[in-house]
Amino acid sequence: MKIIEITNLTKVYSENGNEVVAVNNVNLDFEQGEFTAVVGPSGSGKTTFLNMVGGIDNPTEGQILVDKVNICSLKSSELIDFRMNNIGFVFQAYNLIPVLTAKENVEFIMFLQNKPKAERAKRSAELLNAVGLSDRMNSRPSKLSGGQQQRVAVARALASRPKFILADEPTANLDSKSAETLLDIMEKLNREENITFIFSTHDPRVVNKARRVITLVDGQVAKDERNN
Amino acid sequence: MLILAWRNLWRNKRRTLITAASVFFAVFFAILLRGFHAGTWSYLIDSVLHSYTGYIQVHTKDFWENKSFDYSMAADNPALEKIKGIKGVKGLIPRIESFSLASYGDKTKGVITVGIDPMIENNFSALDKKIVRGRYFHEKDTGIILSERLANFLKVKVNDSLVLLSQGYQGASANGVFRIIGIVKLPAPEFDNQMVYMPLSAAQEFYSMQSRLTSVIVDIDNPQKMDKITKHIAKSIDTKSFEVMTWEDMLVELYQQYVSDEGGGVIMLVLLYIIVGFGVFGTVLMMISERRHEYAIMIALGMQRSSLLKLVGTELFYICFIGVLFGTAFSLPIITYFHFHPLQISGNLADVYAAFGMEPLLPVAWRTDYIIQQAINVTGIVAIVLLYPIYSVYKLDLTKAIRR
Repeated sequence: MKIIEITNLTKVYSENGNEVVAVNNVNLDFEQGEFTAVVGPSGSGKTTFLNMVGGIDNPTEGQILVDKVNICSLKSSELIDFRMNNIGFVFQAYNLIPVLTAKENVEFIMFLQNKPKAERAKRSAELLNAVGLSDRMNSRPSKLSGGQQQRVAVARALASRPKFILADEPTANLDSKSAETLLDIMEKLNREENITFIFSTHDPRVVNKARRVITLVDGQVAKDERNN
Repeated sequence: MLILAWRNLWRNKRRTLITAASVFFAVFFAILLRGFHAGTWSYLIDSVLHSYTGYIQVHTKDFWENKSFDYSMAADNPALEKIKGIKGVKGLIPRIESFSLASYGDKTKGVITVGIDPMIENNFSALDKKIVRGRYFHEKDTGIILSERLANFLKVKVNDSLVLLSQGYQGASANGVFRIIGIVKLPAPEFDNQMVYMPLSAAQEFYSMQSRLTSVIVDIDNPQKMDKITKHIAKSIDTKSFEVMTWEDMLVELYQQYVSDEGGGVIMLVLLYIIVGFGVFGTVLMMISERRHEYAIMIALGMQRSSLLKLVGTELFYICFIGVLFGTAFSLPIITYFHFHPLQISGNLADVYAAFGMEPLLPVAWRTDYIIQQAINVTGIVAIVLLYPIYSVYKLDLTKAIRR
C-alpha cells in the first residue's frame, strides 16, 4: 500500500540573488513498511527532500500525497496537526526538550494530541521499554548519553503512532556501538510492527540495513535500488 | 504546559531572577510612591475640606455662581430628607454663607461669614480643636469666631467687638456688633484670611432669613465614593431646582494643583514602568533568540504556533507574577505600618504644616486600587512585550531554525 506519492517535486532556493535548485523534479512512491535510506553527497538535496516530505518545507513545484492527502495544499495550522498525527521525526541532534524527562519527552506529542494521562503513561513506558530505556524514564536529556537521547527521540517519534518516520542522519552524532543499537531497534520496529522509516544518511551502516536505497545527486534521483 | 513553562523559567535562573527583581522593585516603589502621594494629598484635602467646603455641597440652583440669598432654600426642604436617606451619607451640615464687611478700629476687610450649627459643624470639622485662642461656641452663643490671619489683620483679640455690615435676605440691611469669643487657625491660608463663624440662629437673624439656608454640606462615610454618592444625590433630587457640587467644582485651584501633582506622579510611574518594560523586553529578546531552534522543533513535532505563544506568555506571566507578588508582599507591611503610624515631620517642614494649622504628619494611604493597578500595569507591560514573540513565532522559518 502506497503511503507517500511524490510527483514532480521541485525546490528552488534564492541565495544571494541566484536561484539554486535543491530538489529537481523528483517522482517517488513509498510503500507501507519500507526501510529506506536516501543517500547522496553533501548538497545533493537529501535534507530538503526530507523536509518537504515531512511538511516542514514547501515545494516550489509538485505535490506530495500522504495517504492520499496533498500536504502541499494544507494551511500552516492544518499542516502542523497533520505532522503531529501522521509523521514522526528523528533529528540528527536528538532535539529533546531539555527540561522534560525521557518519559515526558515521549508523552509530549501525546499531550499535544490531548490523549488521556493514563494512555500517555502506558504508551511512553512501552516505547521506552522497546528502545531499552525503561530504567531511564525519569532522567532528563542532560543525564543521558547521545545514543540514549537518540533512542528517546525514536520513542518520541513513535508516540503518536505515525504513518511513517523521517530520520535525518540519526546516527551522525553517535559512536559505533550506539549507532548499531539504535539501528537494531529501528530495524526491529520496522520488521515487527511494520513501521515505515525513511532516513537521510551518509552512514554505510544505515545503508547496509536499508532495504531500499535512493541516491540523490544534484537534487535528482540518480538511483533507486531495492535490496531484499 | 504550566509545568513546562515553570521549568523553562529556571533554565536561566539568573536572568529570571534579575527580570523578576526589576518587576519587584517597580511594583514595590510604585505602591510606596502612590501610597505616600495619595496619603499626603488625602490628608491635605481632608484637612481643607473639613474646614470649609466638605466633599459635597447641595445648594439652590445657581447659588454658587451668584452667592445671593435669592438662591437660598428652606431648612425643612423635603429634598434634604431624601439626601439623608442615601447610602454612604452620614449626615447633613446646614450653613448660611455670605460676604460681609468686617470693621474694627481703622481696619476694614471683606470676609466670608458662615452661620453654622455649632454641634453638627463641630462633629464634621472639629473646629473646637483648631481654636488657638478663646473658646468654641456654647449653646445659645451669639458671639463669633474669627480665623487667625483675619484676626491678625484686624488686630482684634478675644472679647473685642467686631462690626459686621452686609445685605440681608430680600434687600434687608444686615449690620451688627459681635463679640469675638474665639480664634481658629485654618489649614488653607485662603480661608484663614477671611473666615468669620457665627451660630446658625445668629446668622439667620443677622441676615433676616429665618429658617433658611444657603448651603448644605453632605457628610459622607468614604471620600473615595464621592462621585458615586454625588450621582446618587443628583438622581434623587430635582436638579432643575438644586445643584450638587463636589469640592473639585468648588475649590477649582486646589483641584487643579492636585491633578497637576497627580499627573507628575503618574509620569514618574510611567518612566519606572518603561524602564522595567525594557528589562522584560530584553529577557524576551534573549529567550526567543536562544530558543528559536527549540521552538522550530516543537512546531515540527506538532505544537501549534498559538500554543507555543501561550507557553512563552505563561513564562513571562510567571516572571512578572513573582515580581508583583513579592513587590506587593514587601510593600504592604510598610504602607500598613505607616498608614496607622504616620511619619512625624520635623524641622522647617513641620513649621510649614503648623502654619497651615495641620499636624506635621506624612500619612500613607492604604488603597487596594493602587495595588491592583500595579498588577494591571505589569500585565499591560507583558501584553505589549508579547507582541515581539507573537511576531517572531508566527514569522519563524522552520527550515532555517531547525538547520540552526
